[in-house]
Amino acid sequence: MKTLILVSLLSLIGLTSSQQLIPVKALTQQSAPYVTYTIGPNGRYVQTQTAYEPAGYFDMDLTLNLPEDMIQFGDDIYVADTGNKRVVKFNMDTGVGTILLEGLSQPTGIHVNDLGELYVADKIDRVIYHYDAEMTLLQTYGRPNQAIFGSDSPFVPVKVTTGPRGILYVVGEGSTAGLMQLNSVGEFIGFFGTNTTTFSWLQTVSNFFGINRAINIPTSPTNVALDEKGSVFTVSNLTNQQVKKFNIASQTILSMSQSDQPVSVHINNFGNIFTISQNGIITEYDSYGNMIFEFGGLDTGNRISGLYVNPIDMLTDEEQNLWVLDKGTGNIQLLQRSEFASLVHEGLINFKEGIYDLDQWENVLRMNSLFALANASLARGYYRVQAYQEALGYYAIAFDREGFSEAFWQLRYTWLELNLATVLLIVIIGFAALKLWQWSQARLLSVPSVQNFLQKPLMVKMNDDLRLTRHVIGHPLDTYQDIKHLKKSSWLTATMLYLTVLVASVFEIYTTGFIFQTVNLNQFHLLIHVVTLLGGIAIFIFSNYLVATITNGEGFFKDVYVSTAHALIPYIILTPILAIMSNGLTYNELIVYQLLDGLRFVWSGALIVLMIKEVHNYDVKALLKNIFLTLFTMVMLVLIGFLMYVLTAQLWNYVESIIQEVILRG
Amino acid sequence: MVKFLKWVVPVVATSIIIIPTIQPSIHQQDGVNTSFSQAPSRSALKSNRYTQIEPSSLPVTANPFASLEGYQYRDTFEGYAFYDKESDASFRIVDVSTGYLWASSVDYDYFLDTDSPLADQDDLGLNLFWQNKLRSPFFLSYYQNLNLREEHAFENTRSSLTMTRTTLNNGVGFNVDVSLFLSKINFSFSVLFNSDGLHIDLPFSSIEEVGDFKLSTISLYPMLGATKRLRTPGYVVIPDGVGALIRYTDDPDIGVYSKRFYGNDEGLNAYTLDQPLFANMYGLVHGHQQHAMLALINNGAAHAIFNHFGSQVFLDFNFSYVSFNYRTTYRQFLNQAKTSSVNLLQKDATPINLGLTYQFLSGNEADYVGLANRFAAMRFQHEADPITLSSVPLHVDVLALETKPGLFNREKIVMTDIDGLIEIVEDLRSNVTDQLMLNYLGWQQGGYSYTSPQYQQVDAALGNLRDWQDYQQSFSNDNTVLHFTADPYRAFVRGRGYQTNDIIQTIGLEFLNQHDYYYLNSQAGGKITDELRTTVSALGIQGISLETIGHHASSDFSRLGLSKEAMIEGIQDTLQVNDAVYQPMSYAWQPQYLLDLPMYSSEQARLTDTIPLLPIMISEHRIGFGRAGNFFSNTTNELLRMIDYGLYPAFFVSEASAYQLLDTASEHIFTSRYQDWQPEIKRQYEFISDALVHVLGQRVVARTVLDLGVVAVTYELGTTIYINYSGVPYEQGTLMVNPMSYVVWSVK
Repeated sequence: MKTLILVSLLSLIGLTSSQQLIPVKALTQQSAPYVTYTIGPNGRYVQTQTAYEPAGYFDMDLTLNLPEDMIQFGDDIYVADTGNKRVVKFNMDTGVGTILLEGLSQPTGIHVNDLGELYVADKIDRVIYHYDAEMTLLQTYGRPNQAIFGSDSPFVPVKVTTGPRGILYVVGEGSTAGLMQLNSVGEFIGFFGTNTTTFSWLQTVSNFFGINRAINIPTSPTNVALDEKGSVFTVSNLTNQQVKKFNIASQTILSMSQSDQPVSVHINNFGNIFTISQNGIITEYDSYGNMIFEFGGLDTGNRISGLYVNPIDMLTDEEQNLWVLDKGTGNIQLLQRSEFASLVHEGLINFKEGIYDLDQWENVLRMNSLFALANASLARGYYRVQAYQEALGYYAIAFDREGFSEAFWQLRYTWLELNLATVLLIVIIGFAALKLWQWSQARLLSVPSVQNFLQKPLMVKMNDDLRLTRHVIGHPLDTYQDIKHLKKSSWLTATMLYLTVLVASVFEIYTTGFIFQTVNLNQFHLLIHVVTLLGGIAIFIFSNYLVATITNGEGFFKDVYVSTAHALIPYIILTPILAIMSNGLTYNELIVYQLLDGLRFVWSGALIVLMIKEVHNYDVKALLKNIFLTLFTMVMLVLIGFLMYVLTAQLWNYVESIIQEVILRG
Repeated sequence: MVKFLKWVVPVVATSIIIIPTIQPSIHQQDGVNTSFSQAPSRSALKSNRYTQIEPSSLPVTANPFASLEGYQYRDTFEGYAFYDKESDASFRIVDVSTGYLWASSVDYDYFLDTDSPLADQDDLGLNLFWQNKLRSPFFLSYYQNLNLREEHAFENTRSSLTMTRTTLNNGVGFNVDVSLFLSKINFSFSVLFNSDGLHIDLPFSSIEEVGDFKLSTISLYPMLGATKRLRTPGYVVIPDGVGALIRYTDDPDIGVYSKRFYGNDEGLNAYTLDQPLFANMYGLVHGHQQHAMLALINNGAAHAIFNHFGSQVFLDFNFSYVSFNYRTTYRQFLNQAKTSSVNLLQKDATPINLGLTYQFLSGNEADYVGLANRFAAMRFQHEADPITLSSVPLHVDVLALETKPGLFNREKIVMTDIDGLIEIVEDLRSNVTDQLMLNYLGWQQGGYSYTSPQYQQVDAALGNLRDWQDYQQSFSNDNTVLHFTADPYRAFVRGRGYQTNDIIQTIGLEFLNQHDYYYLNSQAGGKITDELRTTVSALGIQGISLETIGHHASSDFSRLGLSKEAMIEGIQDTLQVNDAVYQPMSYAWQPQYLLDLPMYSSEQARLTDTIPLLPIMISEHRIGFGRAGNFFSNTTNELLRMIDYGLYPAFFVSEASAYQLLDTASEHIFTSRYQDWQPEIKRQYEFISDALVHVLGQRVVARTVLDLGVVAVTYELGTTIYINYSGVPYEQGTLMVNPMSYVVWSVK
């Protein structure tokens, strides 16, 4: 009775639970119970064809219990059947299983070397067993007794693998110094692949003041794998760079970061790197660490093929199909590589061998217009055959700025070669036009009607204000004195200057060349930009005036408002120039761009500092104090605003929930 | 000699005439031999993604776990005799021709006798509770406050079960009045057996909740068709996705398969996690092509849950039944942040007029093909002639317009303007086929996303509609059909054209909202659809294609108060024959064009096979298309699957590159440019057309798995299509099917 009620209840709960939705749109039907993603333009995740399709369960004739590791050797797959305290192997074609070792304590890691010799890491026994191909015990590696291992270093082996010359790489629980390297006779060689530590902001501040906080201890790796060339890959429980590739000197030469915590890493026979996470997400990278495919997920109780309960390990076979070991169910699931993934793989293999098959990548692109790797490969291919214009287009789609810069440099060089005379001619004509304008301006100003017009009060005021904006460039101190004492300039002029700042910033965002563009225009929100920019300026003016009133500042609010606007003149002038220039520069002239970019901020910043000093009539000490307090006040105002928002929202939620509960319970 | 000649001459003469006519005409199609075409692995072919080879089994001649002892004969209809028993309101149906017996309950006497030949090793057996329970004609669950309890007819001696035999003009049966002591719930149901099969009805008005306990579910005759362990080979047929089987395996790990028909009810805050049950039926097969039972949920399917218990999970029996869910508990959030909540019980029971019909099949009809055809016969019984087609149709979705954030307003991205559409249609008609089913998506003012339910006019950015109308004149009477796609039952949260009263409210009185869209009730949706028809008709467009409503319906707990079943009835009233509908479940099969039909089951580990149940059901009556070929990852395999299932090809195209869709709501469309896809559309269309052109609109009469990955599908006029999914050639006599290829074997 109880059981059936339980089942009914479970089924009802299962039927009514609110969880992740399946895609409902007709266009997103998949041939797998998960969506496959790849990297699209600008490094964003985009959907793609299914790369690996569920291909059922490996039909084994032995039952696994909480297995933790597996490895392929020849036609067999060896499994650490941890829950059953044994090691078994299965024929990959027939599924016929053989028990190789029994009576182990807790075999959590296994490895088979090229000779078919088996290494077993037993976590409880704290040893590594070494068997020959006939399962005769050759050696037992216990805790190293070499002095360099350290007397306090724990030796709790959980994973093991071997590299060239029979060197063992052992993952140890609590082995914070990294992988333990043992030679073939079990002597400790050293630690390898140590994870680095970083200081948090708080720790840095604490250290600055000499306060001792807890020492940072590196995270110990949790899994290890070697590729065919003997490079070592580790997996660690970190917030980023969870997967690392090391060179022989134990230096990180490649690292991959995932939002999900990987539990295992595997490298296939052409160097692609696969990871599987504790959430069942399988990620495939090419040998350069570029993400190619990401897919998978956890099963939510319906036991759907292609989803897992507690995935623990994975490998690829000769056909590049995936085998995924699920500790939760004791099964091995198979995923078959799709035609699309084969196409991508062939392109990658050719690319590594220096073959730039444009047709092949165009075929990939036909199947997915957003595939960044295909766009980048095509761009490189076209660049190589000197089709720079085509390369430029593909580099732009792939958001490869460096490649784009190189192709653009080539195009610019060619263009300049062909059009140098025209350019010189334009420069000469421009110079002549400028001279003509200056000459005609002088003549125009001598005309009486023009003079009368310019003598009108409004025009005089405007002319003065405009002159002031020019004046601030060369004579900032005089300008601020004029604003403060002579009441030159006005609310209107200052407001116009702020609006010009806004226009200049938007102009920059929309006209900066691709190479130097940092804003994604498709995700740019004008309103947010306006609020951020003008709000920031407003907070500064308010804070500065507020601080000045309590620190003997002489400036009025209007003085601060108007002077600040004039301090931003360098930004207003340089920003459009910078934006226009950026369309003709490449990374080779990066220094020019950066200098100009820095100049507008430094110059404006310097003018603001001078403005504070002059308007409030501060000495240097009072100036520094005012600046510090202004910044502090700005931060506080933002924080208070944020707190007010959060508290109001909380209060609203609280009141709403009480009303709701009264209605529902009443 | 003369006598000899009298025999020989006619035989020879007849042979001379007949033999050439039965010589098969073989159409051999090589696979698509691109360097990347790859066959499914052996493991994949043995998985539940494919239909498995039917195991040879002994004939199923009798049902040893049911007898006629104590049963009264009532009448015989269509070769099936009906018996019933007053003490427990059970019944027996006997196939008169074979003697096979379908029973509403099981005889478990074998368990009382350890030496019984019906006992098997490792039988779980039955305790007294289960013995009583299995005699009950129903399982009922109810809520005591928020706790779920269960009761059956013989749980308490003070409960009563009164059966009254009835004889009507067109059949025999009985009425049952139930009064339960523990739950204080009373109800009545009727059983009628006639030439249309067995009908069970439980009107909602008969249900009385006398005490404080609240009804949750009722399952009538849960043991109907039960079998013990592996004694009766067979399987359950389920409309899970495209269709699936659960073979009787005697494996406790299979667990309980439980799924709601037509997907979970989002009005009850329940969401569908995998492929739902697309049709209101299930079937049982006892011995492949020997005995089968089709169950059709006539009324209340939207609130019905299909359950299958494999043997050894709880009992020694494989049994399947339908539960009708009248009431459920739910989580009521108390604030928008959803940080606090209370659990509540649904106040009023869902008004379900429960109605089930069972039909019984035997012989060659008794398999999933027969069950699908029988379902189709019932589903489409009131319809005119089957669909006629002159060639294989091609479904093409053409994306017109999308928008993405701009500096001040949303920026329009024209993917295919009307000139572009005309060019695409001209090219398809010249180079591929004129049997086109075109859908223009995002034609409305503002484009595809964030505009529904506003469908008043074509966006000016797409060009002059008159050009299209002029162009359309040239093929207005032929096979090319253009529909405008719309989604009138969904409303953008910041859009216009609907009122608050139109939005469906969940049981927690929240607006039903997904991905910035509200779902509208059937009244509002129907009204908008009617307006849409007027608009489209005025534009000279042939019809509309409807998204969402084919696979989405939910209860509405607003003041309007519509159950999911009522919502579905509203949708059905709206749909017309000339429409097209995307991913339709069987309630939305009125339109002749069924688009984007599922091609896979949910592939739960409990399922053993995927079968083309839905495509077989519609093969003779509707034009069914598969998913868009742009998004195939194993193209050859999926094309073979479409040929196997009899689904027609589909594509999603646009004039501009899908790259333009970045940052739009359609950025999941990663490839669509027609120029890129034209050769592939032609190739894929021809690959499918060369096979399916021989069987257009024909009914599937048999489908057999000959070998691992090799399927033979036979149609009513004798044509057989052999499909070889595998990577090895298949040979049988003169038949040779290349790897990843097919052969059409037609009888002249």
